[in-house]
Parts: sequence; C-alpha cells; structure tokens
Amino acid sequence: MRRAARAHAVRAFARAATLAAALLVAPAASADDAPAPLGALESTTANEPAQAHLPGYFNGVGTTGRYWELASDSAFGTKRVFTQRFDLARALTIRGPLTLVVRANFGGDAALDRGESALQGPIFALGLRDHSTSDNYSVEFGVRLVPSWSGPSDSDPTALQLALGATLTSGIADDARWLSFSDTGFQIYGSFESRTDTFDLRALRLWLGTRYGGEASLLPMKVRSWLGPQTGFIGNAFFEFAVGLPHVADADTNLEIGGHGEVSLSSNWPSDDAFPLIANAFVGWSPVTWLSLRVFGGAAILPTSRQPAETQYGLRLAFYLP
Amino acid sequence: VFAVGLVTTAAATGCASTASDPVACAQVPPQVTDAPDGAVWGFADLHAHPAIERAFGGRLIWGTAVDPEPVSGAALPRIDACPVETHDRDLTSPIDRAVGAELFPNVAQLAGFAHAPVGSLGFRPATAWPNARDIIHQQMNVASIRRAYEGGLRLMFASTTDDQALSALLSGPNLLDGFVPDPHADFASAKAQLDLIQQIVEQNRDWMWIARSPQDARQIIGEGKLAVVLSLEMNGLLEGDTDTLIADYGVRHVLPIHLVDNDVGGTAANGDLFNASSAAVSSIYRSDKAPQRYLSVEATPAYGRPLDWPQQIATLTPAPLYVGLGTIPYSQYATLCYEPLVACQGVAVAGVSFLEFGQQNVKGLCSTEAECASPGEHPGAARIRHLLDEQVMVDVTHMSARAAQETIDVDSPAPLIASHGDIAHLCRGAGAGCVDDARRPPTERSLDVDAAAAIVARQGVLGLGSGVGNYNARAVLAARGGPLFMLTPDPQGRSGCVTEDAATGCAVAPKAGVVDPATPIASIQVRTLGGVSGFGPNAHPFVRVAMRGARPLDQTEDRVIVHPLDCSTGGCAASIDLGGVDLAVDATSACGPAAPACSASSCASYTVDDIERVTLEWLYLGCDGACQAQYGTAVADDQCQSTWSGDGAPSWTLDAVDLEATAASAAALPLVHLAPPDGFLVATLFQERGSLVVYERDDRPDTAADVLATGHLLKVSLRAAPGAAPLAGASPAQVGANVCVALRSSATGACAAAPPIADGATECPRSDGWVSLNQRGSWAPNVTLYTFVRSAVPEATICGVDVAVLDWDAASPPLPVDEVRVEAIDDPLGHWVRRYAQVIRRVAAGRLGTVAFGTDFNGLNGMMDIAENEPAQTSLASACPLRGAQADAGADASPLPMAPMRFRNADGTLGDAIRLDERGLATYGLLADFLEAVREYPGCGQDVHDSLMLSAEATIRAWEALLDPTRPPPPPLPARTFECGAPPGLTP
Repeated sequence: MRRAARAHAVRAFARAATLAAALLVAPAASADDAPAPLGALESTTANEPAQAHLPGYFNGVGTTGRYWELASDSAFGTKRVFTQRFDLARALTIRGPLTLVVRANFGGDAALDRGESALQGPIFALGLRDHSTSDNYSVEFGVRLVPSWSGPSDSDPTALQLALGATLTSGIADDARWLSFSDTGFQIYGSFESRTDTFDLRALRLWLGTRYGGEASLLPMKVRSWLGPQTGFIGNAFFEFAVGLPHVADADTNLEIGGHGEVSLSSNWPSDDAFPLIANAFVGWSPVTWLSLRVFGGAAILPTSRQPAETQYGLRLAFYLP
Repeated sequence: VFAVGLVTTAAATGCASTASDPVACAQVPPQVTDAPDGAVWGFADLHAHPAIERAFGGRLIWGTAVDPEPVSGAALPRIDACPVETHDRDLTSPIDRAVGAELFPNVAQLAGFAHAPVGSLGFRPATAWPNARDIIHQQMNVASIRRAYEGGLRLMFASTTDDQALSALLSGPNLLDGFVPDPHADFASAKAQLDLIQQIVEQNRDWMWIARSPQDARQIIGEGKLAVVLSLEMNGLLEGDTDTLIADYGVRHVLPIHLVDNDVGGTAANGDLFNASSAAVSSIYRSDKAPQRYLSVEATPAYGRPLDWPQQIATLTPAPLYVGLGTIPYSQYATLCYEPLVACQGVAVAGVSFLEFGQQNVKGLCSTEAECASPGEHPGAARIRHLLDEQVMVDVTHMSARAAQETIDVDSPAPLIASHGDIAHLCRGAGAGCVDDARRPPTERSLDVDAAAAIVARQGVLGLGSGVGNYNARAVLAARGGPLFMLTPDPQGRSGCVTEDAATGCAVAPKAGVVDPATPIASIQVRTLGGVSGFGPNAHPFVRVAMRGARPLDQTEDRVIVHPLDCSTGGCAASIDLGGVDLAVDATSACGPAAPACSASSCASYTVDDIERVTLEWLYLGCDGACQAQYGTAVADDQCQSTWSGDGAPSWTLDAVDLEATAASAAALPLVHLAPPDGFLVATLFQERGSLVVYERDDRPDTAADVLATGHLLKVSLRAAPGAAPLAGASPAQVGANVCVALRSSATGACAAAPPIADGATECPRSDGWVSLNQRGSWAPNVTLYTFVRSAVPEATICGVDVAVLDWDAASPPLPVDEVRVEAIDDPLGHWVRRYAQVIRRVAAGRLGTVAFGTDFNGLNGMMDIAENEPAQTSLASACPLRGAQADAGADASPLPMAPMRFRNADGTLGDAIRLDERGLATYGLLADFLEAVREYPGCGQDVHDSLMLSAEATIRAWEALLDPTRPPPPPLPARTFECGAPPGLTP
C-alpha cells in the first residue's frame, strides 16, 4: 500500500514537472494530445516486454538495448588544459526498468603549456536507476568509491593547479575526477531527469527536459596537496535544460540542444578559487541506438576571483550495447 | 550624600562616566599657566588605525573595534576565540588554513610574539591578548578609545591602511593565475575602513565627532569631545580615487607614499617583506608599467641595511601563488646593487675585502629610475601640490629621504606633517649639548633631522612613534650554536639550558669580559674542528669578518673581509691579516661609493671593539662552464648564497670553534671558544643552515655598558633553528605547548638552576622565576621569540638560562634552539620620554606641543612592549570631568580618578587589571596610563606631559596654517627645557 502510494507520488511529481516544462513553450499542448514519446516505444507498462530505445534518446544506460555504456569525455580550454575521462557502465535489471548500475571511471588531464600531466585514479560507483515507462523521468542514485590515488606532482602546488584547470575546462565540476586523495573516500550521487512528452510546433517535433543532480562526500575526504593531506568536503551540483528535436519536418534529426550549468562545492579550493562555476551550451545527436554524442562550448569562472572567464570546448561520445 | 555615592560608584566601576551611557567630558582649559588664550588642552595621536579589521581582506586582524557591550573606559570587552591558522571568519578551505598556519607565525614574528589563541577558551593564555606585541588582534576597540579620551586624547587621526600583496598571501593560494595587482584594490579597502570609522563615530556621537576643518576640531574639542580626522595611509591610491575619498568622506590627511614605491614616489627602504610587495605591484604604479621592480637603492653611511636578498611574493604565471616566499635568482639580484658582490663573482677561491654601507632608496617623487635621474621637479611633486591645494594635510612619513626632501621643497608655504616614526641623526650639526640615545644606524624610515626641523619651521608637527623594541639593551649572556640544544617533549619538564660553565652539561655561553675591548689587534684567527664533505656545486667554506669603520654609532660603514678557510679532514683554519696584505682583491662594490676599503694605516688601527661580527659560511662562487656541465645550469642561481634549495651534498661539521685575535703586541686574545660537551656539536652547516654567526659585538656585556638599564628588567630571547618542524601551539582544538624560561644565578655561589617545575604542572610557575615564552602560541623555525623577566639578583650574577616545555604532545618532533640571549634593557617608557625630550629640544627648541603621539596603533608594528614601572594608579587623574546629569550632581568640579582597565568577565564583572608593566602598551586605552607614567618621569616628565597635552592645539594650528598660510602667526606656545633626570633606580 505504501509502495503504491510512493509510486503514485513519484508519478504525480513527474507529471507535474513535465506539464510545467511543457507549458513554458507549448501551452496548448498536453500530454494526452501529444504524440507518444520516444520511450513509449519501449513499453507501455512495467509488465510488458521492453523495446530498445530509439535513436535520439540521450540518457540511455539501463534502458532496454542499452545495458552497457562506454563513454568518453574530452575537453580543452583557453588555458590549454586538456581533459579526458572514460566511463564504463553496466546496468543489471532488477525489475522492470529498475536496474542496478555499476560504473568505473578513469582518465587524465594535461596542461599543455606547462608540460604537466597526470593520470587520474578510477572512481567506482554503484547505484540504482529507474525510469518511467513513458520516459518522462529517470532517476539514478548511489554511492561512489573514490580510492586513494597518487599523482606525479602531489607535493607541488601545480598538482592542484592542474586539477582546478581540469575542473574549469572539462565542463564537469566533479572534482573527484581530477584530484588525488590520500585515503579512500565515499560520495553519494544522484541525478534526476524529467521530460515532456513530445509535441509538435509547426514543423518541429519537440520535447523539453531538465536534468539536475550532483555528488557529495559522505565523510570528509583527504585531498593530497603540497601542504599534506587536506580534509574537506568534495561535491558538486549541476543543472541543465534541453530541447529535444527528434524530428524536423519529416526527417529524423535526433538532436538535443540545451544548456548546462555546474558548480563545484568542494571546500578544498582556496578562497580565491572557491566555487568554480561552469556554464555551457551543447548540441547532442543520437543517430543510432548504440551511439550518442554531445559537443559543448562555454565558459567557466571563479566567482571569488577577478580572473577572466575560461572558455571550454568538449565532446562526449557514448556507445551502447544491449 | 548623592554626590559621594556617585563618586564611589564611578570609582568602583573604574570609569569617569557611566558604563552604559558614556557622555562627553567637560573640556578642561590648559593646565600650564603660560599657554595662549583659547588653546585646547588634550593630546593628539597623529596616526592610528581603528578600522584595521577591514584591511587585508578582513583576514589578518581578529576582533572588532565596535564593542558589543556597554562602553566603559575601565572594562575591556571580551573577544571571540580566534582560529590560530587564519583569521578569515568564513573560511572553510583546508588549504587556506594550512597556508595560514605557515604564514601567521611569520607575521606574528614581526614583533617577536607567538600567535596564541585569544578569547573564551578555557586554556587561553592570560597574556596572549591584549599585549603590546600582538599585532594581529584588534587593540583599538571603542572602550579603549574611550579610556584614551578620558585620559586626555582630543584629536585622533584615524587612518586607513592596506597592502594588497600581503592580502593576497593571507587569502591563500590562487591556483589559477597567481597574484594580479589591482590599481583599485586600495580604494576599495580604504572605503571599507572609512565606513567603519564613520560607524564608530556615529555610534559614539555623544563624545566623538569627525573634524573636517580646524574650526570643526576646535568646536568639537570645545564641547569636550574627541575630534577625529579621517586619514589615508594606502600603498597606492590613484589620484582620482584619492580625490573621491577626500570629497565623499571628508578625508583631510594623506600619506602619499606608504610601504611600496608608487606613482607618487619612493618609499623608505624598510624591510624585505614590503620590498617584495613593492615589486609585486610595480606594474601598476610605475609610469613605464614595468613588472617585478624591487627598490632601487644606493649605498650610504647614513642608514642601516634593511634590505637583504629580495623575496618574491608571487611566482610568475603559470606557477601558482602560494605562501612559500622564494628568493629571486642571482642574475636578477646582481643588478640591484644591494651589497657588494665581489666576493662571489669569480670562480676561483680567493679572499676579498670591501666596504659595506647602508641603503637608501634612490627615488624621490618619481616612479622610474629615468624620471628620478632627470633634473628639476619630478612628476610626484604635482601630486603633492594638488593635495595641498585641496587643503589636505600632507604627511612625509614613509617617504624615502629624497621623496621627503622633495616634498619639503615643493613650492608651497603650507605646513607638512610627519605623523609617526623616529628622527634620524638627531645630533648631526648640533652643538655639544645635544644628546642622542640612538646606538644603531637608523633605517631610512626615520625622518632625517634636517627634514624634521624644516617641517617644524613651517608650523608643521611631528608624531613620535611608540613602537616595539624602541630602547637600548646590553647583553648579559649570549650563546650561539646550530643548535645549542634540542627541546624534546620530555615529561620531566626541563628540556634545555645554557650556562657560562661547561661543567653543568648545558650549552655553553662564552664568558664575559675575557679581553679588554680597547686592545689593538693586527689579525684574527679562526680554527674549527670537524670535517667538511662535498665542495660542489662550487660551494666553499669561508669566514666573513665585519670590522666597524670609524664612524659614529648611528652610521654604517663596515669593512667586510671574506676569507677562504683552509680545510682538511680534521677541520678548517684561517688567519686574517687585518692590514689586508694577504687578500687577493681589495675592492669596493661597483654599486657603492668609490672609496678604498681601508688604507694601510687605518687597517692597522683596529681594536677588539671594532670586530662587529664573525660568520662561518658556505659561499657559492660563480659556476663556470665546466661546473655547470657537472652540476647543471641551475646552480648558477645559487651563486653568492650560503643556503640553497637543491639536493647538493655539502656538509660542514663544527665540533669546536676557536676565535682569537692577535694583539699588536703579538699576544693571543681569545674571543670565542665553543666546545660543547661530548656528544654535542657546535653546528652542522648544510643546505638550510649555511652559515653560523660565532661572534657578535653586541654579545659582549661590556659593549653597551652605558645603557641606562637598571639590571632589573631583562629580555630573554630564543631563536628556533631554521628548517625545524614548528612547535605546535594552542588552537581551539588543542591546548598547545607552553615554553617556560627561567634565569640561573650565582648570587649564592655556584650557578644555581631554577627550581624544577612540578610534575603535571601546566603553567610556568612565576613564583619560582619561570615565565612563558610563547603564551602557548606556535613557534615557527628561524623565528626569535622573547619574553621579559624581572630579576631580583645583581645582573652580573646571571649565569644561565633554563628552558622547559609543558603540555607538549609526546609525539611531536624535537625543536632545536639556535640562539639564547639575555639582555638588560633600559625602561622602554623612560627611553621614550628621553627620546621625546631630545627630539623636541633639537628640532623645536622645546616648543610645547610640536611633537605629538604618532602611535601607529594596529599598524602591524607592535607597541612599546613593557614598562619597568606601573604608574601610581591613585594619581591617575582623569582629564574627563563629567557633563550633563552627572555634572549637575557636582561631579565635574574636579576630575575623577581613573581605575585600571580590567578584563570584562563573562558574567559582566571585572577581572584582572591590564598593566603597562606586564603587557606594555597593550590597548589604545593604556595611553592614559602611559601619559601618567610620563608625567612621573624624573625631571622632564612634566614637560613632556604638558607638551603632549598641547599637541592637539599645535596640530590644529598647523591645519589652520594650511588653510590660510598668509595669516599672522598666533601667539607661540610656551617652551620648556626638557631636562631629564636619571631613570628611577639609577644614580646619575
């Protein structure tokens, strides 16, 4: 009974969010009138066999036909910092669309002007992921394991300088990806997505969506620095909105256009470098079920510093397997 | 009955006014019979920083001037507990805290005072705050200003200050781009501080108000209130920004130049930290926008040598800014001419000698060397004239000697001010009756006596500083080593000791008085026992001898001899013929005056007393192609240094050191014999300790025998070794180590150790002669801390020092101590009184009021750090008869006695008294006590007191002359003789 009530509440919330977003652009449209969302082709109820997500679905792991994900995030910025991360995810079905997601993430960064580079240690995550049968919402939350890791310049301030540059450049203010830690740490993470059903506007078929979430350390984490391990909070929050363009006229475009904002909340950054703030615009394309990509460009600033904004450009590629 | 009750109540609360509703005093007419009619009675402080908490990004000074409790001049409000790592209230970054933990001990050391937590901690050291030497906690809260006012303060120049490079250091690392100078940073800081000063005045408008004209000042003081003049002491305000502050806030007093060279002109050479700061902002103040330009100095015998190898605050992009202050490379240093570098410019090992003089900034009212070299008036003169045209009082304090003189030379009859500092070369050109207490060359920061006299002649006024360490001292005992002993977390308490007797097992201090200092000498011999390993990369052991030239004590001219040591596996030796015949080079620096180091006749006329300092040191010579091929090109930048940052191998063990002079009669004169007990070394010279001073003239007790010290007040100093791990002090999270020191005495026979400290004790037992050195504050490497001990035994019987550390974490590493000194000091307060008398006699013919206080409270300087005696509290009469309701009750008929200022306890009751003879000039309020102690000084005390109490009048007159330079001069203020008697306790 309580489970049913909770499910009802979640659905009601998702529907309200969907409607609110939809009304901003298409007040005349309603969920009942709109063409079926992409996800509707997957299944209509949780008990029915799922179908593979079509091309144009941009948040795919854990959905039918997308139980393996290999993603690559590459970015560079005006300071000539280059970042690269790889993310491998495996979704295991628990029941219906509810999956257990296991992730492993690793990568590196380099400051080309200074000839500095570092391999960044792996991050493992274990989470639960669920999405609505209509794809109006999806949610994932879990725990991340951030093992201790030693970089080549940990005894020098340039290690943190490189990490900050990576945070500003990568378009992802997830500091745990770029810092080295002297002890193993844990973070909780969560992300939530809501979308409208698709609707038509002149020759366009659209959907509107938002995504938000973040990471937060459960206990203080120890960042390696030239001053020795510095204990503090490591976390971040992001928000993005997107307009989906599955069709333009009669053509399948499978595009997504949106904006992304993210802030690092980590306490390790000195006060002159606190709260790195990132904003970028992106265009996504998922021409086939097994591939989606996103290119982005934007800027990052340090709100407590007088430094000019750092520009950033990047590409995210994601490959899926059933 | 009611009046009696009121008096009793006021006396009990210790305040002339009620605590909850302080009111203005009734203005008292001048208490000297020959003062002109209409003169105001009250003292002026020409320089103080009440709003300092808003400076330095709010990250340096803890505490607030705005009292949360009822204002009472007899009750010091409580202060919140401060985190010891950083004073940024909102800080969460652990890296900022870690950087602060490295930085704050070094800031605190500017006044030789460990940074200990203050506030409401259970283990708060009782002497940590307030203390005259504490420069990083607010000392001018409103209660303190109120007490100074009740003691006679009637005119206060409330000044702003800042230093953006120091602020950047305090703000922690900037990982992105390092330090970027901002031409408007000082403007923003000044506004924030002026806002706070205005807030303070508004909240206390019943007894203080801002004076924007001399008429305002007379009216405000006439109403019995404190007149506040808004003042700017910023490193570099652009002209438009200054004008804005003058127009918007009513600023009426400006120091155009502060701690850095700016677009107006050159600063007085005044220490390495602000030289680094000057370089960090040079790109925004120089007309050619050149970055990283350090002070350009020229050699002069007139001043001391405040500038050493410069540090670099902000490493250049892309390296991040962090707290480690690096030194600039040799290639850059060699262009600065800060010292003759002939000793290390060759690649061959050879001895040299050269003359070494003091330093002064070459810049006057100009921002580049090219501008300064041009004839005629320099660009900064227009800025000075503009300020005078704006009817702003211009202050020459902090200007270079040339800039001050050029300011005086600006074509204007307007009076000038020199608000805070000392006067240099007081007796130059004066008659035989002139007395000058100064025993050391001043820095350029002191105003030249001719400039001071010129300012006074133009109706200007001077402010005499009351800063830390402003007194003379004579050595009682001094020991040097590297280290002398290791302090360990020993549960038994006593961890180290120094005595004159090697048999005690302690480190040995050389015995005093073994040779007659007047003995003529011909040569000096150095012998060391212990091996030398590794001479590369091109490092060699040298001995450096500095011989004092035949100049007065207040001038600098040393003949420096840098001589190679002849080393074998067993030790090293050198014999230095002071006639110079054995030296390969006898040269002057290309940067210094063209004069020979000495002639054969002058070199032959040295006495023991002329030996200024003898130092053993590694010295890097030039690294030629072969050397660089072997060790890498980086070693080129080690040239001329005695310490280095690389992993080079040189290590020099000193098992024993003998220093002798050979008399002209060929007799050997032992100067130093350092031979520690078995198992101990004198020192090991290596990467971080590349030099060791083995002889210092000031270590000899007979050197300053004429210092007016009673032998009762002793200063005990200890220096932690370089490269050591810091001793962990208290914080809100830990109790911290408590370092206690006590003197040994042979008054009853043998050199007796101080009574042992009982097991489990946590405080230094004062009753047994132990006093705390660090107030539980952290003790950083290479930092000298000192404390004061009052001795009941004759000075000559003091034979050693014991050191113990209580509450020390047993897991802590040992702390090596390199130096221990015991000095008898003359009473700092008496020294100040005598100095005041000397200055006003010399530059103002004893005209009362011409010299005011220039306290520089809250100015990162530390205040007068102790007084030998406390003024008699029963005679501490308030200059604050009451007005209003209290006056109606008859209480204004005569001033009420002032009670001591006391701590306000958490329950509102009053605690211990805050005493001058324990904490020095610890809060602004103690100016009242200081003034009373001045009055009690034998002979000139009453004259100095009366002169100070007419200093507000003299300052207002200067201001009036600025507004109307053509007005007829008012009747002169009376003059006095200022003849001082002997200090209390001394016979003439």
